[in-house]
Amino acid sequence: MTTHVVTGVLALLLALVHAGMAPRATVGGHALAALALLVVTGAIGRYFYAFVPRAANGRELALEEVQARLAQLSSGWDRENRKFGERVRARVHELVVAGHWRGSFLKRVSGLLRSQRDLRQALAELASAGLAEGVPADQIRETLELAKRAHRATLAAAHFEDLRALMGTWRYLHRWVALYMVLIVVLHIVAALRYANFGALAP
Amino acid sequence: MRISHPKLWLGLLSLAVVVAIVLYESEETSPGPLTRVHASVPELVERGSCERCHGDGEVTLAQACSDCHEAIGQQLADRKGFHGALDAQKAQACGACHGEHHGDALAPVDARVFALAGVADRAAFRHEFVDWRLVGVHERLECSKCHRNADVAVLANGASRFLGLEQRCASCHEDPHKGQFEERCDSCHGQDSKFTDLANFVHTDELPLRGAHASITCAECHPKGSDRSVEAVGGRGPKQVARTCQDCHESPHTPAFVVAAAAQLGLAARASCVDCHSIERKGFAVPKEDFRRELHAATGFRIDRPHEQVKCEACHTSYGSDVPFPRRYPGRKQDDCAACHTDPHAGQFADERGAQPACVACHALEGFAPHRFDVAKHAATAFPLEGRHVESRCEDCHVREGEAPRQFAGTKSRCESCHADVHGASFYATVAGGQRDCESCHDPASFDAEHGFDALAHSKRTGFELAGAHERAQCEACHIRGETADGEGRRFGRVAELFGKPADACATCHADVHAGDFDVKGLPLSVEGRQTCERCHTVESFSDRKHGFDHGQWTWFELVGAHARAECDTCHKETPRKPVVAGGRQLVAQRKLGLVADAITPKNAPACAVCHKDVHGGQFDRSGQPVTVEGRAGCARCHSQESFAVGARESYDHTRWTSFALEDRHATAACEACHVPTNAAAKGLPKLGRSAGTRCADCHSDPHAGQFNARACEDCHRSAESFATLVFDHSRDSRYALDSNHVKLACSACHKPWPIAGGREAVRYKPLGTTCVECHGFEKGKND
Repeated sequence: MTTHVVTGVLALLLALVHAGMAPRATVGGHALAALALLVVTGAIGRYFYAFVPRAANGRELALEEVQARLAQLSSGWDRENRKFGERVRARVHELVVAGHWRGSFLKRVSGLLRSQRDLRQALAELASAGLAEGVPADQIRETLELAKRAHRATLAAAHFEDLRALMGTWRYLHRWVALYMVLIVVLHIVAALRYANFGALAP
Repeated sequence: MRISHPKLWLGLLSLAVVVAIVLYESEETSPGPLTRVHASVPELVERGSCERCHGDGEVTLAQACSDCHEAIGQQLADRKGFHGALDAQKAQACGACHGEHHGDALAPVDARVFALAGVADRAAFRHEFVDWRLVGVHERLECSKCHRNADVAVLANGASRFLGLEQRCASCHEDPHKGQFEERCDSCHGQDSKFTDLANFVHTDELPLRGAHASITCAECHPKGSDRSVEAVGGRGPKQVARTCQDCHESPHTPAFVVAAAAQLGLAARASCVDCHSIERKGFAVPKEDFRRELHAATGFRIDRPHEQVKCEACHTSYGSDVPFPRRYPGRKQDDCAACHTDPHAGQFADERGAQPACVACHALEGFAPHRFDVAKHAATAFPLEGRHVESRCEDCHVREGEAPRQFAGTKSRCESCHADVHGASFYATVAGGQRDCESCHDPASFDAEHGFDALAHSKRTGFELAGAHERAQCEACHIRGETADGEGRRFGRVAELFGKPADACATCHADVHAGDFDVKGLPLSVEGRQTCERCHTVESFSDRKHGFDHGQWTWFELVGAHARAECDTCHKETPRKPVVAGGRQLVAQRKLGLVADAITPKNAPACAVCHKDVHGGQFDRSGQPVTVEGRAGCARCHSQESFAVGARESYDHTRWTSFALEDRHATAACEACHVPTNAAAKGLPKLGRSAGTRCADCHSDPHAGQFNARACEDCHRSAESFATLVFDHSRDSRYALDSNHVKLACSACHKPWPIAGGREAVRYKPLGTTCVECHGFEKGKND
């Protein structure tokens, strides 16, 4: 977790205390709402951020690097039950191929969420089928974990540009919310300095 | 980046939106909603109106507030009033106490605000802090009583919460006198008491308010609107003069009482009130200790016996209450007892029209008890008192049933209405028709009954005919008189109660002296129709056995022989029996003829030994002797009932019973020769004594004076024919064999009589010498 995230979350908590846990519809209250909105957009952005393939140091990977990682994962399939593993592998491939993302921001969001939903359903069906065929439970669990990683790697390779574009758009929104929050906080501080005596008696 | 690049326009558009929103927000910098009172002022709620309250750089917050709250601003300027008395620095910081921008959640003036101003409790606010000291009733008033808007949440425009009041009474209080008095309010009224208490008012000297007058309200004497109202007597009009008691008080007393009382006091009637009703005393009522008995007589009712110790409240039950005077003191007559006292007789003496006789007709005026209704007055009733009734107490006949009054009227005059039937309905049931006729036996005056209760009456009323010994007996023999009377006053006992049995059986009074011997199974229950005791006895006499007594039938012991000739008491001795006590007395405890043996029953055959003593001392009942002889047992083995002696000796087998056969001389010898008669016969014992034994020496004396003591007689005298016939071989049986010379000699030639002890003589047989010289002697020369 970066300093960016930590200061954002702490700022919201401190602002709530400053508002006495009872914000009102005033400039100060609006500043608190803007800060809360900023934290929320940040949290969603962190979700999208997780799908962009990165190196251990956070650097975004190039497509070639993603494809190499995917190939490395393929070797793992042979260690498990071959027949069950082949079927899982085919199903993951089918999921990635079947997803058609569009070019707009909302459609990319929709495509990402839908692919995750389809993956959960497919893994649940494969787990039930594996148990019915007598595949040991620990072997099913390992195979499905491998399938998750393979799906994410395959998704990153297949929608490499879509994911980067999605992240870029979301970052744009987050920055404008941050600007609004800063301005209105400044306004709140100026008004307080102007009219309030902060409890001190008048001179 | 080109000017036409979408990202540029999109960025500018976004910036514009953000700036627009911030600018809009900059016009709404209020930190919260205003209180309702401030929010109701349009100038304070419009945009950009912050400076109206907060001022600007040159106008302070206090100055801005004072622009609207001028009165408070004046207080601050004059250093007066609540705000003027505050600390100067605190007084300038309006917002320090009166919070804003919290809407209705924070009232501009409430307890919190007072607390911030140093008044922890508004109700305890010291009003002199604002130069107006509250005392008395004012001190206890709620703030809102004077400051109408003290608790109003939102003041009307222009209204004041605490300010604006004056310190004149009339500014708050309405003048009840409508301005008719010239004096100031506080010349009569004070703050320390109620308005009607007139704390500062002093009544006129003509009628100083003391005693009862001190506690009444003005309006009680000075009713509003009357010519005696407060305004009429104390206002600007002419003053009234002093008056007498009757001018204000209405007298409840009768004129006769007032005149009589005044005459006793020597006062005029109008001025006599004060003798009893002192003005110094609170209340019009006269204390009991102040009311003289003589005055009570003036009412027509003297206080003497028995009322002299009675408390007032006993007669005047409403004494001290607020009920009207005529009800408290109704003026009763001296002899009208019923006016106060409840008729304890519950109207029993009322006549047909319901009129009651005067109580004093029977009771003295001085007291209810003792009454004065004597025998002479009782004679006027339907039941004149005579005899022992004169001695009776009233309550003996006139009883009370529970809580009901004692009954006088309608008291029944029949004996049984007052007297319990001590005879337990025994006599009453036998009289025809069930009517009790006590007087047929008892004297109404003395209750003496014996004059009319003879044997005939006894038979008639009790069903028990008195005849024979019963007729001759005293009444108490059966009806035992107790020493003390029972609960019914009766001492003459009933047979059934005394003995616990029906009176129609002999056994009720008489103990069965035979102890049930004649009521055992097997004996007749009836003899010629007679039962129980009457099978043998009659009522004439117990000992008169008129019907005879079959001893064999009743006792299974037929009397024959000597038994038939014997007197009864020969066998049936007079025997003390265990006393039988019944009904507190001892019944016949002894009978003349005792039982032969209590153990005689058909199963236990009669035995001679029951009556007769065994004179043989059991000699014939020893082991080995026959139990029966020809079927006869016991004494009958030898004796018959005809006679003890006759036949017994003749049939006596001496050998069988004694093992000593009587032979030769013994067979012919008289019994008395061996069985020497003793003087025991005089004591009822047999004439023949017991023999000394079966040895010869037991009966016969020893002629040899004990010389053969070690040998038995029959060793020599074997023949029973004669004592002199010997079976003795001198050569064998003695130490001296007889030679031919001596054998010829007579025994006496050698055995000669020899003196023995006691001066008697006996033929000497031993010891004798065996040498010649011991018999023949020594002859000189011949024997040498």
